Amino acid sequence: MAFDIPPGEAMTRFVFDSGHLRAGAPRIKYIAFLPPKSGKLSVYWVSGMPSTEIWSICALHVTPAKGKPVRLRGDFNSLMAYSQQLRIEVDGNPHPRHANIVGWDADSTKARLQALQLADIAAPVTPP
Amino acid sequence: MTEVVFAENVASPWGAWDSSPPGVSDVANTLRNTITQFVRDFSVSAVWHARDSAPNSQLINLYRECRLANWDQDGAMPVTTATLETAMTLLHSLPTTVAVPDFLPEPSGRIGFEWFRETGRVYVLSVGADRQLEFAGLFGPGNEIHGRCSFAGTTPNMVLDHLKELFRR
Repeated sequence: MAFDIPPGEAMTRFVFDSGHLRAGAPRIKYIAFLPPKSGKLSVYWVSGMPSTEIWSICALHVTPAKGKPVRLRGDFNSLMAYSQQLRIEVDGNPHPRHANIVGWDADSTKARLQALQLADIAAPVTPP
Repeated sequence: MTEVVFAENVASPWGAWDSSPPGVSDVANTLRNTITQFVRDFSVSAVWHARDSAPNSQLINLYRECRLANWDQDGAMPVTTATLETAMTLLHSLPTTVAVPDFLPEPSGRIGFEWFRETGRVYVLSVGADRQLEFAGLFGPGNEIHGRCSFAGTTPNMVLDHLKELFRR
């Protein structure tokens, strides 16, 4: 059953496309946080999880679907999404910790600004 | 007599120059040859490569990779030739003093031009076949913008102001 993640929780988004990363310093570009057509941006709720377990979720549930190796992940606080007037819904599929950032206005230029804000604040973590 | 010369039949990045009417003196011929050589050299120079050839290639590669629907395996719209053409027009309309941006395909089928200065200072200009520019920018704490404006082939002054703000010291 879906429920909203409260502000203040640790979240992460896995990034698979090298074009979504800035050359040189490992920074994530806004495009990695721009919502897909469905309006559901896939993220994981990782509060209290050790880094190895987070990467394990990626290896078991995300990488096989993407069909390419993960480049890095971007860690951020759920508060950041709420401060952008977005919400985070846990849907539990394909993993109990899977969630989606929702509430984007696809017809507004604001979605791009929201993606910029999230990418700017996300802390890049490289895989082991 | 003022001698005005134009390079003739030169394969330049801007197309052949119009010739109206060429000078006839030795000085005019020398000047014409010098300009012709300059244009030829420039068209294969590092500057031209960095400002024109390489970015054009990047845009074309982006189009090739994203011209079919669902290129992101998440339902993305295709990047069309009209969007590619508009992106190239926008690229060439930018002042040469502005750094060449990164080009990014967006799920909507638009192409994003991204300029990154540092954390908290980044600007995105997105172009589509509709000839509307959509922009979003972070210019430091509490200073952010987003919106859209029309694009008629020249970079709008509003966008130039945004870029000045981004790169302001």
